[in-house]
Amino acid sequence: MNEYVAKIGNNKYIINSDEFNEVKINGKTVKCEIQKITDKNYKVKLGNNIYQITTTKLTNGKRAFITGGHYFESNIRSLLEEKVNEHTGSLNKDESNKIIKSPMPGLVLKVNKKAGEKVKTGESLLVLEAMKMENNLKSLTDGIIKEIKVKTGTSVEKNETLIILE
Amino acid sequence: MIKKILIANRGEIAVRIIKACKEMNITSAVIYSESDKNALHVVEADEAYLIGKSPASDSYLNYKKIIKLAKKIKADAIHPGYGFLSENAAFIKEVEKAGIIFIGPNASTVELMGDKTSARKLMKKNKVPIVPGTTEPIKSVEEAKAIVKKIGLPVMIKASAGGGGKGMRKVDKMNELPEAIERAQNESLKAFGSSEVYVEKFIEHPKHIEVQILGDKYGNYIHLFERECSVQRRHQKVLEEAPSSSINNQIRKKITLAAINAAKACKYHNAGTIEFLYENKRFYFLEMNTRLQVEHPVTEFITGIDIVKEQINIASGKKLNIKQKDIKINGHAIECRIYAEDVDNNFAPSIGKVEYQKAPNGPGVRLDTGIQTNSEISIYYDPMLAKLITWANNRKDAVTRMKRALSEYHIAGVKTNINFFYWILEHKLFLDSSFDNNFLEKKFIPLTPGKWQKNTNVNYEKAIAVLGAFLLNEENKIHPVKLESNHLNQWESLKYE
Repeated sequence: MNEYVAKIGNNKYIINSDEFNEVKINGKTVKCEIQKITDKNYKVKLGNNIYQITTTKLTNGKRAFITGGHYFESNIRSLLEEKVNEHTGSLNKDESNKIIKSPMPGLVLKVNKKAGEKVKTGESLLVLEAMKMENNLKSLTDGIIKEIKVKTGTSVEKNETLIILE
Repeated sequence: MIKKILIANRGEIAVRIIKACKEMNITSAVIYSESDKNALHVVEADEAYLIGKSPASDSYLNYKKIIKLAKKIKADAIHPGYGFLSENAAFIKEVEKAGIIFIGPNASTVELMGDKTSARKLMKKNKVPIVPGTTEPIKSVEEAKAIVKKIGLPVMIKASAGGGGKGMRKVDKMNELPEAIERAQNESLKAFGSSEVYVEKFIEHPKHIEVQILGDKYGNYIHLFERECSVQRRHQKVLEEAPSSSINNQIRKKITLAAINAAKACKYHNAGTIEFLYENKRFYFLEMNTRLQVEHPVTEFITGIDIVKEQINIASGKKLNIKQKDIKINGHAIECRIYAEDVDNNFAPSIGKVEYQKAPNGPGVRLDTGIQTNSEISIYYDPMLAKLITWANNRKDAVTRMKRALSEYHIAGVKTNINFFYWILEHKLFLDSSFDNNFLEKKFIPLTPGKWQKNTNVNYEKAIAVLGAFLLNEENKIHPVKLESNHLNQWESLKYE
């Protein structure tokens, strides 16, 4: 089932759904109907409540929502994106860009570099399959590969060290 | 006979005047600036003329061009709306000289009422209560001290030629007086070219109550009762209502009579508003606005009188045909000024394009709007988008109706102050009518940014989260999941199953 994370103000909502005739909101299942009125205006029925919602994309990647006289801005991401963002966020914080860790459990599909090779910021280091998606893991810094701890086919856990740069 | 009116304004008020013209079978012509070429008033008018570049000084304030155009297109009259040239005596003189009817008072009346001390003197002479203080500019600090001793502290030092808060100083202690006078004089000289200032008592907790009047060219006057506009931020009205729920019929009788006397005193003709400060069951003349006001629709709702049509009739020389005894207060009306602004960012204008709008409607709802989808909200003009007005049999129901109408009003593309009105409409002091002009400053401003937003309704948030997830899901069906294109982002999706 597809999983999404919506952050609105200080609240966080985890949404699970495939067809959006039924959704799980933070684990609780609710019947749902969504009707498109115009490009920017939708009718959402959740349980017995009906909401008319206007929404537009903002330039900062967020969406604006207007409903019932209220105005909200929200960041909505798939769970995968959310985890990656959290991960890169924490990486940036401790500046450990030279130790490449797995952002989530997955399977190494391909290793693009060899030990001793130079890498530049943004170059692909390896491809990891996670949540049914193939993800390119890129270097956040210039450097030389010191050690590669995994190979094609390795299953990795979250936060497991994959590659060390120097 | 007026057959064609040139409307020297823009936005919702230009559209409002066009509607009166249509009902009276008068041709409406408007001016527009370069940035307003797609504006609603241009679409709605019978004729529209590009007047100049976007800055107001080159367009809506450029009265030489405007008068030249009026002559060229053979307009019989010019309606100035509010703001821009509406209270510019020099403009009115030029219009009169050109043989065009100005839909408003004489230039001399505007001049008289524009000078604060001459207006105060005239009001005092005609038994209209003024705020205690001087009716002549002060000549010396000693003279000012003697007056302050008589009327008591705190006092305000105000510019005779003033307005908009310039050349104004509050004095709490006697030893502050000399410096305050000097600074007010300097400010006034810079802003208005005159250093004349006067002293008046500072009213600490006033309410703003104003009376709408109509006067024709034959000395007939009527009033259309009062409005209360105490919900203000920095002397800018935010929400207005009619009638005032703060005064009883006895006060109402006195204040409306005072307003009529004020209008008579300056031989006023046109629609006009006499503004008063009200505190402890006493009211004091503040100023007279010699034009149509932004908040005129609340009065139209409770009296059923079309003020713009009356203005046009008066200007064309007709006698007032409404009798005072036939005007009754019917129900209650509230107006919210809808602005493109970011309330939490110190009410900064929100500039941009209206991407989508859905207007409220239904029983007792009136929307005077100046925008449509794709309208540009530019830096050049006041960012008021529209006025939402509701009417009901009583104040409580008018409030309920306003909340309903606000909830139907969707504007996307710019930030608006729509949600801010819920804070006002649900505040205890607003509901029990005990608020005064300091209401927003004292109660709301300390709650910015953000803290005023009551625990937002979780149900709305859930609905938004679901819709957001749905839209992302739809996008991902077409395009694989995209991660943020930040170079610091290690992840890039290759394939989605």
